[in-house]
Amino acid sequence: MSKLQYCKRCLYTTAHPLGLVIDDEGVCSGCRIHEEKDNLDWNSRWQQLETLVKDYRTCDTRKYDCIVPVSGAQDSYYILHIVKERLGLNPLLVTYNKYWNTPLGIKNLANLRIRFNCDILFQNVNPLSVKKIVKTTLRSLGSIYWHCIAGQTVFPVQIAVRYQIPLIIWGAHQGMEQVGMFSHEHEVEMTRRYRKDHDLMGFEADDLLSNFDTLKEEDIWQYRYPEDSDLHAVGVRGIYLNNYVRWDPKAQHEQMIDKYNYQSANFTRTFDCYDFVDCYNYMHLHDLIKIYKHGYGKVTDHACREIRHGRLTKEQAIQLVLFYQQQPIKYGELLSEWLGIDARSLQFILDLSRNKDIWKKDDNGQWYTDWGNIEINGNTKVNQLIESFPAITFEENAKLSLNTEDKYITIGKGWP
Amino acid sequence: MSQVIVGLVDYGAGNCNSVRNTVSKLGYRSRLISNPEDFDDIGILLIPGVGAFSSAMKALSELELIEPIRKFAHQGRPVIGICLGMQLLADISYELGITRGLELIPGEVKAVSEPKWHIGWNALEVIKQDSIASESNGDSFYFNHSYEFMAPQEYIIGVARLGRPVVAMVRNKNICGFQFHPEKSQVAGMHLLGRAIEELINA
Amino acid sequence: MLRKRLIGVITILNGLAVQSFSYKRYLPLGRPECIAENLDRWGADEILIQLIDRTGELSSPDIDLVKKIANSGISTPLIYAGGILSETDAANVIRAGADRICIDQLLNTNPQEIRNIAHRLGAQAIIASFPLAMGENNKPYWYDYRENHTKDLNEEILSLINDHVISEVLLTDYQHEGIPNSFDFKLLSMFSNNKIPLILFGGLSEQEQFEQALLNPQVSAVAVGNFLNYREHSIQLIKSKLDVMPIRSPFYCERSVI
Repeated sequence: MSKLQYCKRCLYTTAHPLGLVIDDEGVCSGCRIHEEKDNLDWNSRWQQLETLVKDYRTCDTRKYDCIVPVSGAQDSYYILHIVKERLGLNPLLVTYNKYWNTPLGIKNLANLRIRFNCDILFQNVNPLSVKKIVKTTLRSLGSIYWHCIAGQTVFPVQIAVRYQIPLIIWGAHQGMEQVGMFSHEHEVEMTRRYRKDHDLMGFEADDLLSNFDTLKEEDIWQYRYPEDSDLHAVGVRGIYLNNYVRWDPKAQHEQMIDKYNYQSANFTRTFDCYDFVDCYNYMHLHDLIKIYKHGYGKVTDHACREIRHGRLTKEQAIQLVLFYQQQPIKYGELLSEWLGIDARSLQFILDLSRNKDIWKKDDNGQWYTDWGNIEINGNTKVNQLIESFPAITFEENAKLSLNTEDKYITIGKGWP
Repeated sequence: MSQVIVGLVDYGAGNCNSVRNTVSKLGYRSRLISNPEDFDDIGILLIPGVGAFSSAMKALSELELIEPIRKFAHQGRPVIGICLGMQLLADISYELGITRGLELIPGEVKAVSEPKWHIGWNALEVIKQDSIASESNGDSFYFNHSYEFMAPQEYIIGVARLGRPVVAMVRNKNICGFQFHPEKSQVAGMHLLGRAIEELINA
Repeated sequence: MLRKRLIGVITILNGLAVQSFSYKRYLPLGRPECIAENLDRWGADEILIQLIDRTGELSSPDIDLVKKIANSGISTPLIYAGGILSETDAANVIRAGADRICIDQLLNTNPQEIRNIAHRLGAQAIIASFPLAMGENNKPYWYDYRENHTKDLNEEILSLINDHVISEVLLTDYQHEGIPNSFDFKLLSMFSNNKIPLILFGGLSEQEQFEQALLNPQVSAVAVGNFLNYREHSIQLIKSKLDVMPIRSPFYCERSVI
């Protein structure tokens, strides 16, 4: 087991689940690739994108030029802004129903398709199968989110094959943005390998079937990746806009709030109000599991991003992370109810995923971790809660519930 | 899942798991055979293997497997030898001095010469009509050996070309051998091995 | 007719598959077994897993990793490199499921042991790895990256080659690793006095250089690492542009493995 290493600049360590490499100067691969954002000629990269999509632009309004996977959050507005307004393509939107939708997410998605005036396909897998999958992945992989990511990443590919629309346009490649998995100049495209390795923790649909006897084929076949021969026959290809556009989610979301009335909401566990507003679990129960398994939450990802964009110093970031990652989660009872298991059983299962290197039990059987143990420059450790926050502003203009009841909306009208 | 149990002779020469995985993907259960009592309910015997002929025969002898294998074959029950396993079916090998083989298919094992090894994917040329092999005529399989099986013409089903022909597949009724690795030959290998097992157990 | 091969390379550092640039810079990729499974499905002719951290306390092969990949259900020949320092190491790696081994450190520290390995496993199982670069006088040199110095091929190495103790040489243009279309063919002159088959590696990414490599009678295979990770179906993409080359045709899986 090699020694844990810390990045000098951001808060990531070599224990990052996607994999992280620290170079001889103590800087991580994610920070290094981020440097490219300020060194590359983005005009010329935009031209490359224009050239790439030229072959797919049909100028036939009865045909779709590309597929754009969307949701009520996650850069969807900005992606569509680029695809429709700047590239002039005719997209077919596709969205996977993750079930745990907030009223705000439903509204954002409805607003998206109406403001951009796009056709959209919804995929809704039957509730029994989804619940069985969630129970299985929670128990066996320590994840409730497998079905969401599996669905979001495969449905567009299935539609590409079925409708013979080869080009799929995604926003950011998570591996690049977080850990610098690829240079922007590699122009990495969507691969089945990345999906299995990183999105699905090494388990594709059929792996769930062969490894865990709680599921049947009828529960998981909808999540199967199309065969290579089908992908090849259609020429399916998924590109990432962050290879061609200088990606800055904070700035982008603020543009979208301004231009298209995207709505945001505060979270208890992070300072970023723009992302994941469409889900009751991502910043709550799912984030709790992240803290149990990996010792850090989404707020750390947000903090590293803002350090790299020069909007937070490392010290400020640590203060924010220390505060937010200890905040309690909400909406756990919604998931218990939906799954049909009581809160204590749920907590018991969640506790099974705690990483024993990070979490210990005290004499009273209570779990604890040493929150303050974050190194700065390999020397000093910060060990106190800070009361006043560094000034970084994210604009909240709504609530997850839109001032109605906090309740999962499986299918919502969303407008007005 | 088929009811037939495939026996895999495990004599410490290399790794049985790849063959085992392919057999499992083909829908058969398998069992590792490393002592004489393991043969009874086996439907078909696979002899995999890499490495030296003499060490392999020595290992088989120490495990007292030589006679049970020969008896299994002489009863007309199916046997498939893979790579070194195919070479072990021969009468004799000149690898390090002289070593006697299982004597199930006539022939001698000698060093490949010019070049000294056969490494890589090569096309199977089926030279004798055969229910197992003919459908795979022209398919490429992975070879990795430096000794070859010189068999009388009537037992040679297929060759591969290394400038001149090298025996790639031999068959003597219920006993057949592949010089290449079907378990390392991706889709083509899986189809051929599947057909071989199917044909031989139903023959 | 024997085909030439397109080998998929997985470079592994601290258990993590990485992209490697000129032996200096690394970017994370993910789980080695996921990449191996992917190369298998794409139809790579061989998969080379090369571990680049097997020194010091870790000076031995990572047998668990070999087993994990070999037993994962792939049906592609597996070559292992990293930490093989003895005949026992080599035998253990083969027993764990690799088909062939690739040695480098041993060439510097104990070439005689390679003869013992060949005796036990057969020369067809042994590939010798030589990272090369062009030096002064336009001559290639052999780079020992552990000692960080350069040298020539010595008598002992040449006799290993001439005595047919090793079957192939992995010739790595390490300075051009990860740089597109940049393999330096002048490096082949290092082995022009003998007939040992060569596997070329480092900077090969485009059709033109693949063709130049495969047309060379001494070249038996080309190996690609980083470049296979940027697109879907990278192996098939490369092969489809080489259809008049003596290489196995690309195929696209039609049926799920299960």
